[in-house]
Amino acid sequence: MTEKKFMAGNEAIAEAAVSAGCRYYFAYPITPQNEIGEYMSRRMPQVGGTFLQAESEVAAIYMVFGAAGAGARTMTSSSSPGISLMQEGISYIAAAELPCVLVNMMRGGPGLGGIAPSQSDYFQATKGGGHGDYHMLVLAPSTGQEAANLTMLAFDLADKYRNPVMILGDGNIGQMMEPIEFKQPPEGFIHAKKEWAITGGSSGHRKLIKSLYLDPVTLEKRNLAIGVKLREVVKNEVRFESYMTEDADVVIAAYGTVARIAKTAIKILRENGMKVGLLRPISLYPFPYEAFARVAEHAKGFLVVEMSMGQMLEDVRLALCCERQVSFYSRVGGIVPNYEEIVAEVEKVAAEVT
Amino acid sequence: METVYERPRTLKLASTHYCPGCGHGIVHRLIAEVIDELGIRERTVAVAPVGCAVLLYDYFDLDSYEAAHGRAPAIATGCKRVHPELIVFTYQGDGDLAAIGTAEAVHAAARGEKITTIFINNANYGMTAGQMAPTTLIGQKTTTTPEGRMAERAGYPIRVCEMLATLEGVAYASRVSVSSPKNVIQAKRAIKRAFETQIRGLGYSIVEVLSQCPTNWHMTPVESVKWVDEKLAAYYPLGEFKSLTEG
Amino acid sequence: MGMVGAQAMARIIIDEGYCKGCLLCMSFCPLKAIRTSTSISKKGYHPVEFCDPDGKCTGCTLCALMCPEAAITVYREKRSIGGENDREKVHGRK
Repeated sequence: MTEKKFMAGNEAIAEAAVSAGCRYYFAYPITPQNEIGEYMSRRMPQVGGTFLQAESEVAAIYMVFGAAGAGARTMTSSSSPGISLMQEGISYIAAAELPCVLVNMMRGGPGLGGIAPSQSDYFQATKGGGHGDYHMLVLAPSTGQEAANLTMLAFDLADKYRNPVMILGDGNIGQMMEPIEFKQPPEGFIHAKKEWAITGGSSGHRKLIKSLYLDPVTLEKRNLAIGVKLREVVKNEVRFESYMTEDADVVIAAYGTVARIAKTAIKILRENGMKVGLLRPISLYPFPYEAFARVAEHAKGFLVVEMSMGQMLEDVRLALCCERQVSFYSRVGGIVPNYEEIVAEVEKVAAEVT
Repeated sequence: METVYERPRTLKLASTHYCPGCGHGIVHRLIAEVIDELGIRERTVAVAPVGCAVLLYDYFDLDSYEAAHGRAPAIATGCKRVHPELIVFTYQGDGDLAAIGTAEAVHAAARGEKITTIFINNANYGMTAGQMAPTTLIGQKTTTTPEGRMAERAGYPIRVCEMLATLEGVAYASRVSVSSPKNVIQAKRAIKRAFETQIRGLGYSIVEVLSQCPTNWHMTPVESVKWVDEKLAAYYPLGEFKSLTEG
Repeated sequence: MGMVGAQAMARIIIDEGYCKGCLLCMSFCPLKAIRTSTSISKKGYHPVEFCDPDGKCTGCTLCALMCPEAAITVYREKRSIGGENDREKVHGRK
C-alpha cells in the first residue's frame, strides 16, 4: 500500500510512467504540460533513465520511434500544436507497429490558440491525425488519479498491441493538484523481451523497423493485418463509466474535465428531482458505441457537453443512429463550462424530451 | 594466387537498384569494408534515409531502421540512448540532411550524440529525378532550376561540413569524394575514422561524400567523376574539418 | 571472363551478375586490361570483361576500388620476399 502524494496531474502522469517502467522520455516544452518534462528531467536520472529535451516535437516523436524500435518503454508529451507536429511520426510508429505512450494536454486552438483547456483535438486523436489507415488507442482521464492509472495502463496496452497509445487530457487535469496513489508494477515486466526489437544481433535474424512496402499487394496485407489487430482492440479495450444512467431520462455524454463538472450538475439536478445521468467514455478509441446504444433503450434524450465545436458529438450521433435526440452544449477558446451552465442545458433538454 | 580484394561480408549478395556508376555503390562498399575490418557487424545499426538509399537495408547485413525523411539523426539518438553499446550510423542524402532534416542533424551534432552520419552530397534530389537540392551549385541546371540555379531566386548552396564543424559536440567532420581510386582510399580512411570516433565515444562524427549522380547530371559515369573533381570539389573542398583524438 | 596470360602475376574476376557496365574500372585501369563487351547480362547491361593476354595485371586493385557493385575480385601471386606485400593491407580484404 503506497502513500498518497499531493501533486499536479502533469507530475502524476510522469511519475506513473516511471512506475510503469518508462525510462526514456523525449519532449519539447509547451504550455500547459511543461511540468511533465521538468519532472522527468529530475526523475529520470534518479532511476537510471534518459531525459532528453529535443529540438522540436518533430525530433521528439522520432526519438520515441528510435527508442521504441530498440525495445524500450518510452514516451513523449505535448499539447495540441506540438501534437500536430508529431502526426507524421505517429503514422510511422503505427505503421512500424511500435509501442509507445503519447500525452496530449489539450489547449485552445486552432493555430497557436491559447493555453487554457480545450477538448478540440478529439478528431485528431481518434480519427487519425496522421496519414494512412491506423488508430491510436486513446484514453481520457477525468482526474489526476485516473491520469496516473491510465498512464500505467497505457504502457501495458502499447506493448500488448504494438501500437501507440495516447493519454488525452487537458490543461485543467494537468495543472490541478490532488492526492495521488501509485501502484507498483509486477515483477520483471521491464525486462520483457521484444523479439522484434533492434538490439544489434545475430546474422540470420536481422531486425528491420520499417514502413515502406512498395508492392501494393504487400501493403494491402500490412493494412489488413493492422485492421485485424484493431478489431481486437475494439473488442477488448472499450472503457467507460456509467454514472446514474439506469433510470435516467436525460443522459449527459462528456469526458475528461467536463465529465467531472457534469457530475456536480447531476448532483444538483437529482436533488431537484430530475432523472439525469452521465455516460463518460474513458476510451475514446475504441469508442463505447454499444454503451450508448444500451442506455438509449430507456433514455429519452442526450446532451453532449464538450470543450470543442462538436467532435465527440459525431461519435455519439453515430452510436445512436438518429434514434434519440442529441443536443449539444459547448464552450471553446479555453473556457471551461461551469456546472450551472450544464444544469440549465439539461433542463432545456428535459423540457423537450419528457 | 591469393585473394587480394573481394566483396565485403557485410554487403548482402543483392544486386543494387542504384544507377551504373552511382557513388552510393562505392560508399556502401566502403562502409561494409570498414564494418568488416573493425569487426562490429553484430553491434552496428543502420538508419536508412528517404532518397535513393531508402532500401539500404536490403544491401547491408545489419539491424536497420527506415527513417522518415530527415529524421534519421533523431531516430539514431533514440536508439543510441537505449543501447549505447551499439554503433549507430545514419546514411543521408542532401535533401534528407541539408533540407528537411537540417534541424535534426544540427542538434544531434550539437548534443554530441555518439552516432556517425554518412552524408551523400550529389547536388540534386536523385530519387525524385533531379530537383534542386540545398547543395546544388549556382548555375547548375536541375528540373526545378531549368535555367541554372540563380542566387536571387534560390539562394546559395550550403557547406554542411564546415557548418557542423563549428559545433563543439562534433568530434570528427571530414569531406571526401569517390571520384578516383586515390579519393576512394581517402574516403575509406575517413569513414573508418568516423566509426572509430563513435567506438571511442568521442562525440558526433560525419563524413560528407561528394558523390556522382550520372543519371540526373545527364552524364556518363566517367564524365560524372570528372565533374565531381572539377566542379563539385571546387565549391566543396575536400579535407578534414575537425578531428578530435580525445573526448 | 576474358583472356588471361599464362605467366600472370595477378588477375581479376568480374561478376557479370553485378556489373552494370559503368566503365569506371576500365577508365582507371592503368594497363587497359578491362574492355567493354557486347554481351548482355541478365539485367540488360553490357558488362565489362578482363582482357590481359600478356599477363600484365599487377593486382593494383584500382578497378576494385572504383567498382560501385563490388563486382570485382582481385587475385595476386603471393611474393616469397616479405615487405612488398604490405600493399595488400592498404585496401581490400587481406
